[in-house]
Amino acid sequence: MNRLLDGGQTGHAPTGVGLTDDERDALYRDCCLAMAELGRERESLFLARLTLLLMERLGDAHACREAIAEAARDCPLPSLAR
Amino acid sequence: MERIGPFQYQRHEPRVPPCANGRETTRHRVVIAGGGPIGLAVALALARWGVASVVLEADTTVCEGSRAICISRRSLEILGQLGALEAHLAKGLPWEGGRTFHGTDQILHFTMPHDARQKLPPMINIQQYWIEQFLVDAADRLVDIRWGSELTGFNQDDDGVSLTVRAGGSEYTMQGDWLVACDGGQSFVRKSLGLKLNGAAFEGKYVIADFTLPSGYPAERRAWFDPPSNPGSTVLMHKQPDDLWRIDYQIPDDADLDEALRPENVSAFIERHLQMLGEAHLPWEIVWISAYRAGAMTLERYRHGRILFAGNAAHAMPIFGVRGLNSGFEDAHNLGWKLASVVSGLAHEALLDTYDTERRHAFDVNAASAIKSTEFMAPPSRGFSLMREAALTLAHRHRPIAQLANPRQTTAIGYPDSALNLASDAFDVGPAPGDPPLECPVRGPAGIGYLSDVLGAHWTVMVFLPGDSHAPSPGQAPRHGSLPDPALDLTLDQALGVLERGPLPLRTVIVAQRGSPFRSGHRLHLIDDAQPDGGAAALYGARRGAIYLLRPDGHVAGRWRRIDGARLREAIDVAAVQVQSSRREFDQGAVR
Repeated sequence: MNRLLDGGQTGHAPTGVGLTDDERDALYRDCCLAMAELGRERESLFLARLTLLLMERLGDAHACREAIAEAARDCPLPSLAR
Repeated sequence: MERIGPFQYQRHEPRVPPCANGRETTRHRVVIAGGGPIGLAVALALARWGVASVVLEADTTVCEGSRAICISRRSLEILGQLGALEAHLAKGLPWEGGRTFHGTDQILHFTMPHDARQKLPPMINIQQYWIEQFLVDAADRLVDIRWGSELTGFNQDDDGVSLTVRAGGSEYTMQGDWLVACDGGQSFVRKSLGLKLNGAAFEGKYVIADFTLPSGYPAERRAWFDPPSNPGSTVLMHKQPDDLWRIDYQIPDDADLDEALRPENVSAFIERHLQMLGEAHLPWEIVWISAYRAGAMTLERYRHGRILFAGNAAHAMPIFGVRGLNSGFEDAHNLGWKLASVVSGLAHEALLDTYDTERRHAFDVNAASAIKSTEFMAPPSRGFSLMREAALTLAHRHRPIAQLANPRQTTAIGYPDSALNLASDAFDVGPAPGDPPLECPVRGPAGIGYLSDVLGAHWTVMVFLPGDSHAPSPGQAPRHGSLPDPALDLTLDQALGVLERGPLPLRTVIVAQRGSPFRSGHRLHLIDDAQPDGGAAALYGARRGAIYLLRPDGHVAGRWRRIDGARLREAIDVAAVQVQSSRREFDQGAVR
């Protein structure tokens, strides 16, 4: 069972606490703002750094591998964010 | 080259042995192609078992330039077995860790595994010409080293190998039962058999240079990513004895390597780097320049009939993590006792197939670590570049992320799936079957020593006793274990006596908690009180009556929590039978 496909409903964060809709909305926007602030040239490095930090924070190798696979799966060429 | 600093090259004249019709009159048991460190180590390992060998070396001196310079603890243990440890320790610079910089900011200070139980440092730095010279010195009168003697052709059949050798202006043929190919990365033996190394080759080009510099900076590994001296790339630096320094830097993939290797270009680079370090005011001079590419590649098999491959002739290893020369020494250590056992009639030649399976397993483990280090040093694609930059830029504030920049230096490799591993009991801790031995100080008859000191050209039974060791009274010292050993259970004592006198060369080491150390016949009684915070018994997870059986290379063959004499004899009989008739088909499936 792929926890990520279930929108996190059956998954488990290490703390046992998921995100509320409001929190998710706010974090989504924080990421957008951080990238907008840094500019397109730093976009990739910012995302790579964020990935490393979140993997350490998650501390769950299996969940990380699932997330990497899921992010790569069917990843299209951007058509909206060009 | 006549000398480098205090090192004076000795030239040796080519010599032709007594021949009849161009054929050497003496047939040899083992001929070794290549008199580099691995060929000499194999020859010395055989000599410890009383097996003579001939080493064919094309050059008339030891190697030019310092080449491999990092000797691991495991290699030092092996050099100890070969009788060359003292010279290496006296000359080499011990070190325990290093620093990694991003730009000029330190992002990681790593240390290699080290603790109070160790006899030897985790690593020493020493030039390869010193290593080779010390091995040549140790081989004096033990090994027939033929300098200026180039192997130019060979043929093998079921009984041995015929070789053609060019020495000076003349050519002669010789016969040997076995040929060990230690003729390096450009192995003539390998190419002649039409064999190739397969594996991963990397794009990066590296310049490597040695220069004299009277710097007081201590011996440790320093690595820079994107330093001002080499923007966008890497630099490594190591101290060697005799005020010699190694620098190693990557040049762009599209750069002309020949151009980069010109002394004036290397000089300009070193000048720039020393300026960055604030050491450009010191007098310095280049003594050696070379280049390399990183690759983790191996032969598919290390045994081809009567021909065995070891060291760089068998495999290539990326430089990062120093697994090249060190894995070669482990090859020599693994092959030495097995080939000696076969040549001496103690073992069936199939034992040599376990050399192949065990050392190819070691290659796989070494390659996995070396590839990780190489990918970090020289990212093979944009993804690797980006993630590395993410890691480097976070490392100074996030210690776990900084570990990605740890060079993962070589460690001794176990053989968990070896066909030589015996059915054993489960232990909570300690080395499992196939693992290398663990070090611990112990009290012996000559004072404080180390467990590794008891290893030699024999199998070793290590018996852990919880109580006292009682030396026999002076009037009744047992000869050849003919009187009961007061420390041992009678059936175990008798079983050990039979084994000690049996065909497998075997010594017993009794590790008692208290009492007096002593030696008697094949037995050595050691006292486990040299280490205040837990001694050998704790390290080996050994309670009352536990027994470890160690192979001649020190790796664990089997271990038992409690074993009586009958079961021990049974276990060692299995080991002896395996040694005498190792089944080839079993070996092939055992390690993958």
